[in-house]
Amino acid sequence: VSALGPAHDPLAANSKGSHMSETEMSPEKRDEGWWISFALRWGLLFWLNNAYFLFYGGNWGLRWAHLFSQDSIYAYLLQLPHKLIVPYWNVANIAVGWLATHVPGFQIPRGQFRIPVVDILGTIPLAFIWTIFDRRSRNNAVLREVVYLGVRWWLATGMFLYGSAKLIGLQGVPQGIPQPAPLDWVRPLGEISSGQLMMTWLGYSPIFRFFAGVNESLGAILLLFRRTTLLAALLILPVMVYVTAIDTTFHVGPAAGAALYGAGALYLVAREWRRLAGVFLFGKPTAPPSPKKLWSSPRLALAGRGLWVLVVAFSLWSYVLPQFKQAADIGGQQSPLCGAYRVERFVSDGRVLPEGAADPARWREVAINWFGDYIRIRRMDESELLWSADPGDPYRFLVASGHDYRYGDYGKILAKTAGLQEQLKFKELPNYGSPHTAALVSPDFPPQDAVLNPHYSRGQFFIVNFIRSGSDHVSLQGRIDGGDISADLVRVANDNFAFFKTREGLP
Amino acid sequence: VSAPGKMADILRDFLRIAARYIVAAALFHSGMRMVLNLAGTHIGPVEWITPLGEFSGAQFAGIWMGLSPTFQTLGGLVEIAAGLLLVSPRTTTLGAMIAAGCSTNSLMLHLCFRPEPWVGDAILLLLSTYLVLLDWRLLMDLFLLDRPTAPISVKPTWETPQTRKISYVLKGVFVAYFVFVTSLEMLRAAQGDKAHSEWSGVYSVASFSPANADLQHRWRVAAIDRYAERLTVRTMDGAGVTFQIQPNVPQVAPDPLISHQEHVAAMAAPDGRLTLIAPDGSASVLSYSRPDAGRLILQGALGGVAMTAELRLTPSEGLPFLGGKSYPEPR
Repeated sequence: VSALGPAHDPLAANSKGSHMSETEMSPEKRDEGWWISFALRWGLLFWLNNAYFLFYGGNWGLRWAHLFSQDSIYAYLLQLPHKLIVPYWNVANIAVGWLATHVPGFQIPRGQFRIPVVDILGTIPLAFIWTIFDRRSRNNAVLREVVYLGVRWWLATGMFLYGSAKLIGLQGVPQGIPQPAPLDWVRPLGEISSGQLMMTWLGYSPIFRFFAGVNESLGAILLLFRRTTLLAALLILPVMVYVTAIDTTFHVGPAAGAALYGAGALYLVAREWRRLAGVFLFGKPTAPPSPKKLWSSPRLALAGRGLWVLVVAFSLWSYVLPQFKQAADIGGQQSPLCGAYRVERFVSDGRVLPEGAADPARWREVAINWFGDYIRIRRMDESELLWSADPGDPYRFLVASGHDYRYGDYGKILAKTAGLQEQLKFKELPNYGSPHTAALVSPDFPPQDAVLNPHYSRGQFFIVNFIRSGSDHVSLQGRIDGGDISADLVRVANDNFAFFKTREGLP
Repeated sequence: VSAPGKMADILRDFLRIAARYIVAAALFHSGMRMVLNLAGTHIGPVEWITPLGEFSGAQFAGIWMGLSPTFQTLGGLVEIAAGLLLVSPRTTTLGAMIAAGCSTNSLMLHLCFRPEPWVGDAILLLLSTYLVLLDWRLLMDLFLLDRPTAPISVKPTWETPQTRKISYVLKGVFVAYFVFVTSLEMLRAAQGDKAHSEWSGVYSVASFSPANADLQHRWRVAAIDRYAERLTVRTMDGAGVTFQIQPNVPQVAPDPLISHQEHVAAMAAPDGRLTLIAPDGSASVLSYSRPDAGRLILQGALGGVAMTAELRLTPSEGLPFLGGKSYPEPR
């Protein structure tokens, strides 16, 4: 017995009534009852569903899809589970929709949170049936261990993906471009959505982004080891809560993704709640859990270690390596056109429109983005035109819209504006300040259209000629918006922008 | 125990208690500010018409911070919870761990965006790390080695039934101070912040004379902030200038907690004259008239140059920043 007495003896924590984790009390012998059995089965099904879609839809399956034809056995096997479960999820969607309409007080969120809610509710009947069929077994040690290992692996891969993207400066910073990007320098704050401002904030400071990336990457590394899993989950949980809160309150992209990762971390923390409460709230001695070993023989244990190495190597190869490849492809290069410009001379159909005349159609400022493939024009009447180079998408590379990224693509884009005289094909994108937005997109377009539809903007392509003289003067010429336009631009020095002078590092 | 050893124990206990209460006090203060939405910059029309490139890192951090009251409230509640955990010796380690996380985040924000001196956050981080490290063996066993843990004694060397009672009283005083004094003061400040001037808004320039003025003097668009303390003007050359607005009423020493409220009240008094203070400190007295709620006419010599501007209030509800329709931005 410890000198501090039984109350402070960690060994005594193994006795009845002590604050131990759920798994440490002879897990093989315990009858855990109906509800815990049901919850574990539901958790396993929910996780399997999400892990499959991570594999099939998100990062792995589509990444390799171009290597195989749609008729190959690979494509067939990859899509088979999806084809099998789609009818069930269609029914689940209808049932949840019916419940939301007919049950008073039952509401399901719209948008991105609808999918996890349907997943949560949709797996309940399956778990219910499984628990009934499996009613003779109320001991879940193996199941618990499978869920535990699965959640650890799934969370680790997610954290590797996001952590490494932040570490090498690719998240919140499209293509590694420090924010605000040149395209936004001349844009009034009121015309920017809060979500975009949030991403700009994340991309503003390389050091802050690195700090956020270290946290997630460290969490991912610690998740690889059973001993440090609790610490990893405690590191990741507040970060994911933080990210979910930011994404939700600022209306940024996939908040539901961060919430799911947060739920995974919460599960890893919650399964040790007795131990944590003993240590941090009640000042009691605690003992670590003694998990059910899935690998009972030395050979199986060796195979398990081998599998661990494979999974780790595969996760790093699939999630981390592509980020480095993309960063290497960009290599900090930028188009010589990149920057903000004042329009010194503007000619429309042979008529010079002086700045002082304040003609509404005259261009006042022009901003060209990092790779020279997006152009923003501010006119004298405060309206704005946003152009995207061929293929005319708001997102340069996106698997879903049919323009997947391949190594070397950035070099190809940069080459288009490398010369002193170049010609590029552009299309106008819908935008808050554009007088043409109503003609470019229907007013009730679904937001995912911009991601999924390669022809999201109904604008026509037009040719713009660039003539560059020196590093500070560019002329744009072309038949634009029904008129022959010629605009002589003079670069506004980067130091004229306050944010530029206050940010650490180089643009 | 030898006398020097006992003295060291007393010093360690004293340092622990001092660190706990300093960190708790700072967290209560900062947490209350966040819960009452007093942290960050509350932006309005002046910022809406300012191009993004013209904000410094510090302004940018302030805007981000002040943008979402919900996010601020959540952050504030976490800080208050950490402060409360620090008040009890048994839950100090948990409170210190949360405090270390909060102050690390705050320190990084200050270092990376430079909104204000970061020394305060560094001290808080140092103190909360010290409190966490007092339990380092236990934390190592729990988080890295996965071993059984035994709690350390949290009783101070001098603890007796009497000192325990005194400590309860002191804790009560400490919590009461923050609840009744700081909170009330902040509630008053929050009330003052809610003031809103009827002058506030984004204005288009319906007419400007002299019509042949230089581009850098000819107004294109203007905005007045929510307290009518600032007027920003964007000129034809793409530049912008922000003036401080002073109402033409006798100036009294403003109450810093409700200075916005007082300014809004002063601007509401119909007088017909106001003073604009340029960034270089030069003052210009202009006359104004408001023929109706949506129109403002300013007239006088601004920086020694005679001008007349007729401004018209433009609706801002549709701005993407205020939740209006937005479109995908290039990525």
